[in-house]
Amino acid sequence: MDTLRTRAEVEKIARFLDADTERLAFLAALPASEVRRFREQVAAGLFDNQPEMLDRIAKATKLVPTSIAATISQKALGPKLAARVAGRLEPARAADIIEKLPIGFVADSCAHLDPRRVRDLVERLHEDTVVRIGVVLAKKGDYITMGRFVGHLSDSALRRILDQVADDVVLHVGFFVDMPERLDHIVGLMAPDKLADVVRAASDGALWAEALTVANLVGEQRRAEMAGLAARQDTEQLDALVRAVHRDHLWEALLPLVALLDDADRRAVAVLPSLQAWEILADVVRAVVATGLWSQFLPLVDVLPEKSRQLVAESAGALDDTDLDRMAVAVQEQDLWDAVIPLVELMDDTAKERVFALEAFQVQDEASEQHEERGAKPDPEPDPQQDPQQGP
Amino acid sequence: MAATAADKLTAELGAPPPERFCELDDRDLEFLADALRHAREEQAAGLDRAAEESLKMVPAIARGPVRRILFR
Repeated sequence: MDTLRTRAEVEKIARFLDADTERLAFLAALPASEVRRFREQVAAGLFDNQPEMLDRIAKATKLVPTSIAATISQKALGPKLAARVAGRLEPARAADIIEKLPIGFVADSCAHLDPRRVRDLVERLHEDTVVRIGVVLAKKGDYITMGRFVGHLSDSALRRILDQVADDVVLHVGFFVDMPERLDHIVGLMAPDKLADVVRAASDGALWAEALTVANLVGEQRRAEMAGLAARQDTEQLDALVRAVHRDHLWEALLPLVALLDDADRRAVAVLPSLQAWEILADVVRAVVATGLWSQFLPLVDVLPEKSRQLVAESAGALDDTDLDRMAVAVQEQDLWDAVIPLVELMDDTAKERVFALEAFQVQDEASEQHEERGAKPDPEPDPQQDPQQGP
Repeated sequence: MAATAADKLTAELGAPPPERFCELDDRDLEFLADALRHAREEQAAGLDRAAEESLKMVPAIARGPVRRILFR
């Protein structure tokens, strides 16, 4: 999931710096939280310490009627500088000027507004204006700017925008949303059957990165609902999802969703042709080792066709010593040996011996032996002479 | 002593970048510093011209005070 959040942050930084996203690919190796913090620093670097002339223009704007200020904004400043000036005005005055501007110009300006001023401004604009801005931004495909705004909009404005924009817009904007904690609430404002349309839009437009982001950011109940809807897409489309996840290394975003599926949906996923390919299954195993997502992965392994289970076992058996040890430690920590043992049984003898020799396996083996012994013999009666709080 | 790429980025940001940015190549840190400086310069460009243009649209009665604020 961190991969997707980082990717969204990199695109936002590219927008601020007017740089090529590809050139910023080196940021992809960093944690999303750090890239986000850097993006906030970049925004502060751009919007704080503005040239003095900007403040003078803002000050001069106060001396003229709102309608003249609007004309100046549109004809002399243009969308970029107008947004910068708006950021230096009292929010109420800026809102008054915005109400007098053509909506297309306002939408263009929004992209250049100081993100830290968005909330103050949005709160002072009429709902109709906010809705029209949202719809224009969606038509322009300016999802980064929409992602900056949506967290601050009222439920009523959001509902009206959601009713007017295409289904895929929800995915694009969710990918870039600046306040991810609001996303579950926002998605919940959609008409009941709209979520199915949104998932279908992901499938039709191959917007899997966006859909995985949204699904991982919403609450667990809606996440399960989205996962189920996705699992019921055509085999061809689901295969495309798995291949996209494999290509972009997004297993950490997909596996938690697969774990939320009910048995029937999980079985439908398990028989996908893509999940019978060695290179894909080996990639999942590597990703699971790296992320420790064993408890999310094993329910799927349970229902994979025999040949696929064999391939998973082989690729786990082919892990180097370090990764095999990581696997064992994670399985031990999550108490998953019961689910892993059937997989170990499918490994060849050499791989089995390597697993049995692992320290983590030995520890669990001893623990299970002790457990069995305890199960066979009842615990001795406590000594009435001893204080149970003090111990022997 | 010449400023390092990390120093340049810190100067442009006005604060050190997040910790893990020290793992980046100097070339990439330098790119970020240059891109930020360039973006800021782009922002400043055109302000004087815009101020002159603005003045033409101000009603005659307010032009004096507005001029004084803009070009004092």
